[in-house]
Amino acid sequence: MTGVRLDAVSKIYPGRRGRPPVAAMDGLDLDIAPGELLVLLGPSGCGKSTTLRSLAGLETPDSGRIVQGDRVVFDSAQRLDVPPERRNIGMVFQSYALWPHKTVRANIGYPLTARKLRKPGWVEEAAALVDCSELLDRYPAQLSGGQQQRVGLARGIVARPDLVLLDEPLSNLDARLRDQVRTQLHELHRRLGFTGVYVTHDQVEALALGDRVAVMRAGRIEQLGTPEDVFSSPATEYVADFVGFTERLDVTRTTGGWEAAGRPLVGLTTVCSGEPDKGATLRFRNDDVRVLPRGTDPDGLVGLGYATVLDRSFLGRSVELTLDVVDGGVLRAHLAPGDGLASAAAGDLVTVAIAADRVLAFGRGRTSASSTSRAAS
Amino acid sequence: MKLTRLPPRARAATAIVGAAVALLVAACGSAPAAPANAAETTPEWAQVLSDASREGSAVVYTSFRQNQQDALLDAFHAKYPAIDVQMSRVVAGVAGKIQAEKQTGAAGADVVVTTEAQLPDQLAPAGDLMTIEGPHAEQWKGSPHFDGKSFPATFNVWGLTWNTDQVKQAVTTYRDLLRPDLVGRIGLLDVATGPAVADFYQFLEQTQGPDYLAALARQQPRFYPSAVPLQQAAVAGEVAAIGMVVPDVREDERSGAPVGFALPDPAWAAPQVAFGVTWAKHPNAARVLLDFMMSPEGQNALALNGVSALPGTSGLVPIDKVRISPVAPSTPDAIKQFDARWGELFRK
Amino acid sequence: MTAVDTAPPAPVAIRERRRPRSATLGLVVLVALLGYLVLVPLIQLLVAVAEGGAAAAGNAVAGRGLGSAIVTTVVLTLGSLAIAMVLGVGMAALSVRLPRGWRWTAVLPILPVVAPAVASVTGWAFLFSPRSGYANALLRMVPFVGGDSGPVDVYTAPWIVVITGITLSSFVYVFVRTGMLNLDRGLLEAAQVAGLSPGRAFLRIQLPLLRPVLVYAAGISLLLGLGQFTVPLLLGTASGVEVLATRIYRFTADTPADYAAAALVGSPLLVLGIALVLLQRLALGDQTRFVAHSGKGAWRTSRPVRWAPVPLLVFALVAVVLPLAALVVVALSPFYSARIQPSMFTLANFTRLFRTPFVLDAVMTSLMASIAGALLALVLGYLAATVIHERRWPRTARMLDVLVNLPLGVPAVVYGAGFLYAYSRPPVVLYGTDAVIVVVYLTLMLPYATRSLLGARIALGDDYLAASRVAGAGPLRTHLQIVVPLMRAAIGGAVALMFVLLTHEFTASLLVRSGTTQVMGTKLFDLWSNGSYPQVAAMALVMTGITAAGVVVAMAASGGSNPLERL
Repeated sequence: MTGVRLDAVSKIYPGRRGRPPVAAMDGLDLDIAPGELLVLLGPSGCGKSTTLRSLAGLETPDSGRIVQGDRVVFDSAQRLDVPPERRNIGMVFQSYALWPHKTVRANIGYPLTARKLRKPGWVEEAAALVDCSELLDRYPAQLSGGQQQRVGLARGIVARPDLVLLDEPLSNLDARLRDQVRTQLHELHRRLGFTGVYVTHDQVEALALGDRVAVMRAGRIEQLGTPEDVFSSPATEYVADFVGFTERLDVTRTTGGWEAAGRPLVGLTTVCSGEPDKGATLRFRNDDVRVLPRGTDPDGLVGLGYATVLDRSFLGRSVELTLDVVDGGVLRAHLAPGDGLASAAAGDLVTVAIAADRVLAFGRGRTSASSTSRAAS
Repeated sequence: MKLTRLPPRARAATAIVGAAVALLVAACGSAPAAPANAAETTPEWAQVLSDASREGSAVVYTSFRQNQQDALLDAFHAKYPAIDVQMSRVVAGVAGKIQAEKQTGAAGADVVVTTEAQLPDQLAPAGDLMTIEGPHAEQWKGSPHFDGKSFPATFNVWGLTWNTDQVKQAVTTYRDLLRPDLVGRIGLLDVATGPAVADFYQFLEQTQGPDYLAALARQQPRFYPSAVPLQQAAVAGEVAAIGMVVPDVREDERSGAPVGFALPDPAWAAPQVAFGVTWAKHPNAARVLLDFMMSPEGQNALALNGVSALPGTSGLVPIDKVRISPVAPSTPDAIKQFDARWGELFRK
Repeated sequence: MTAVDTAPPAPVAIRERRRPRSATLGLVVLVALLGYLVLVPLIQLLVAVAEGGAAAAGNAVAGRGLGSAIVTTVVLTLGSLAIAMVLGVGMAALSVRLPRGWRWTAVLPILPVVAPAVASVTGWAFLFSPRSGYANALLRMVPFVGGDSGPVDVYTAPWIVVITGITLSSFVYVFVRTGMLNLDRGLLEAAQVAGLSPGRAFLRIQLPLLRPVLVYAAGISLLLGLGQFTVPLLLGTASGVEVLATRIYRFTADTPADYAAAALVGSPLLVLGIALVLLQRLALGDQTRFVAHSGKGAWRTSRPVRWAPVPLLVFALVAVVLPLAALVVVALSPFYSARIQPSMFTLANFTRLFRTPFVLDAVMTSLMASIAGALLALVLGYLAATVIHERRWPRTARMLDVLVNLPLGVPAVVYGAGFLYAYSRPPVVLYGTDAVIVVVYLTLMLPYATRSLLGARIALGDDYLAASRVAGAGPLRTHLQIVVPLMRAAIGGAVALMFVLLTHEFTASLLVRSGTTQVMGTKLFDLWSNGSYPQVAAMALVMTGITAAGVVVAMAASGGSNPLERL
């Protein structure tokens, strides 16, 4: 079992038809410890898949170095690029990529035969690990999506590779199966302890599976940390948005404190350090928004002002109110169905507030993580 | 020499050398005039025959009609079963084909039979013509038709044909073609088909009077690019009558086609000139075939559609009943001139 | 981050390059080979023009009729294009509205492509020869038609246009029908819900949506029309109807052949052809043309048109059944005449045909060259498709894409002249050998092979290959064990399609054949030019039979789907 290291790896796709070039990897540094499962999290186009494919050798970076264990597998300075078949990796694909003309047994066994490894019992063992023992003689077309992906997993680990790459393996599964396979995958990693890189755009998967999570944006890592860290202390507004701080409110600095759209924000005392003149953006989760009867004094909370209810929809475990905050944009609040105002109707006027320790503030005008702090009193 | 085993170039080279040797042998004096049967046993000819058998086949590009091909091949294969002669009917563009074969060394014709009577004269200066040598060729020595390199394998005579479904009254003379009931219903060949056709039109002028062609043009004839389709057009009834038909149309008549055939007096006959090429892949088989075509048997087989140049051979008609082409000057300039005149008459 | 500052591990001793020399070398060989096959014939023609100079230009314009040949070419192209578009689009629109039980009739409009053109054109001639044509004889029995000639004269320009149009309509049909099947049905339903009648929905919604397909189909028809050779050559010669393509042929068939003049006459066709290929690349350069049709078979019209099969059946009757029937009658008759006499029917024409020297050879050469040409084109096409698809050498890939498509754009008669000229002189002298036919066929099939395989490869996606590579298999093993088996159907279909197209091939074959190296089409033409009609008909039937067998194999190999739709 080995670790993997990326040193200043870059890959720029030239812009087509007058569009600017796109950086899929922009001087990426990353160090994955042996046995660690690292999740690359980000929206499509952030470079996470390019990073994974570069680790696999399916993509050639423009510059930088990739070291797998103590073996350099890519080094632009030395024009060295080890092809995928010589990197001792396993890979699991979003599309499963099981070869339809081969049986499950042949699919799982392929990494062994291709590497000329004679390991009797390994195929059966891998199949057993993912509960596919009874599927060995079927063809992929005869399997359900969940079964196919479990076979895909078995194929990825059967040759006991140094590194397992997982490219959105759960995205093609429907919601229920996704949870099931995710749990199996987690347990598989716990039992086998392989070094893995897992690419996803789903924060739930990222948090559940990753030993560490790297949130990527435009070819760079925006934040790298444990799931707990990333979830509760996003380093930038971008990360915050990605881990569920979906609601935003722009605020500006006044002599006495802060205001939103000319209205002072009661209770918001401390805020970001830098660039006070440019103001800040508040970020919070929609289930942290408090909706109070109109005129209620948001005692101990940060009052966001009045809002008109635009719409109400029932989500099962919560009720979503779409709120038009006067001069402050639109917010969504998730209330427990039992909450007093959960029955508010469109057109009602309400007061909106939020607990000060549930708000993140980010200095505006910068995209990086330099000027954030928790907005606590 | 086992020609088939060699690569194409080598084969061509060997063939040329072989032909050159044959030419040398021929130049060094031939066997004294002797009866054909005896001559066949001369050592030289025996060698040719055995080499020809080893070559096994010969390819002929020919203007012969099907009945002539059949008759000739039946007679030839009966006598020389070891030599498989393959005849391919090539009328237009035969000169281009053999030139291409000469230049590229490609497999192709050993012997050519063509209605383009000037072709041997065009090829001779470059030394392309095989010297024709053999026991029967010997008999032709001194004939005005034989210069040692080419000879008229036969003369195909042209007659008149009419479709009996289309016209009630037989069309037996060239004058008949001017009948009012045939307006728009006669078929002719374009002069562009070849110099022989130009010569035929001049034969019409000579025998039918200077105004005849203008009168023929007024009949609104329909033009065909070559002789066989023209003939089939008459059989099919596409045209009612034609004045340029080879007597093999009578085979259609015999198989029930609604056609009649008449031979005018005088009739015009076109030589089918035969020669061998020096780059022949089967030079000895070619010599045997050419010699056979000069024999009385060969001449009889070929004279089905006309006249033989070999005295004593009975053709379809005696040679003094026909006018042998060319009846008019056949220099390129003269032909060009006539083409222009024809164009004014027949092309609007 | 942890362990950032540990010392970098020493690079392993083995240097492994992503682009091993052998791959680059292989690429160079492939590009050189394809470049030679595709470009050398055209370059040789240009050299011929340069050498011929002013004299060639003089010959090209000398003689009567260059002007009228240009006019005829334009009229033939536009006229047949118009007919083909109307027929093709109309039949395509009907073919997607067939009632249950009649869906099989959708295959009928493709049949004219399946029957060899030389064969069906002779069939048309037997039907519509002005006096002796069977169909004309029948038509004359219709009151008010009468007369002893006509009403149709197949040897005149208007009917040459019509016949060419019918032939081209099959191509338009295939493209437009495929386009219609891939249309989002929701859009049409939305239009009908919005109150448009089906007819108006077709005109107002469907046709505009199909514009890219229509433009593509029209472009292909335009190219085929410009290079149209078979119909004008067989039917136009008698009445002096000449187009640029037949003029090119005559320059090469003359003695001595004038390649410079042929090339000059062909240059407008060459330029237009190359321009269209480049235009198409520009328009469809991002390969969206190959997006896999997932919605195949999803087309279920809510409202089938009950009479829809009728025009399709009539088309098949007129375009295929009647010419074939005419061929059968003539082939069985001792001579061709308007009067059909069953009592005289005989098989003698067939026995006679096979005793004719070089006929059997021609059949064998056709079969051998078609199989060899298709297989070789398959290998080169597979390699080309691989290079084009993988973005590893983007510039080379773009170049290859244009290169392999050139034989589709440049008319076969121009290519044929180039082949004849190029392979009749050093360094590669192939004239008169079977090899020249194979090389010509291989070159002509490159676009078809590459397109079919590229389409299949794109539809296959990259994951199957990536999965094999990361599993430890090298490129060779990946192609042999994964890609080729997965593309089996496409490969089979492509080979069969090429086989059919090649057994049909007439134009280029006619230019490069020699006296003794012939294929079925050229032998048929020789018989047509100076043989007997019954033997022409017999030969045409033999040729049709062999290609029909090829089509059956094609259908079987591509899993019952229509291989033509793969284009």
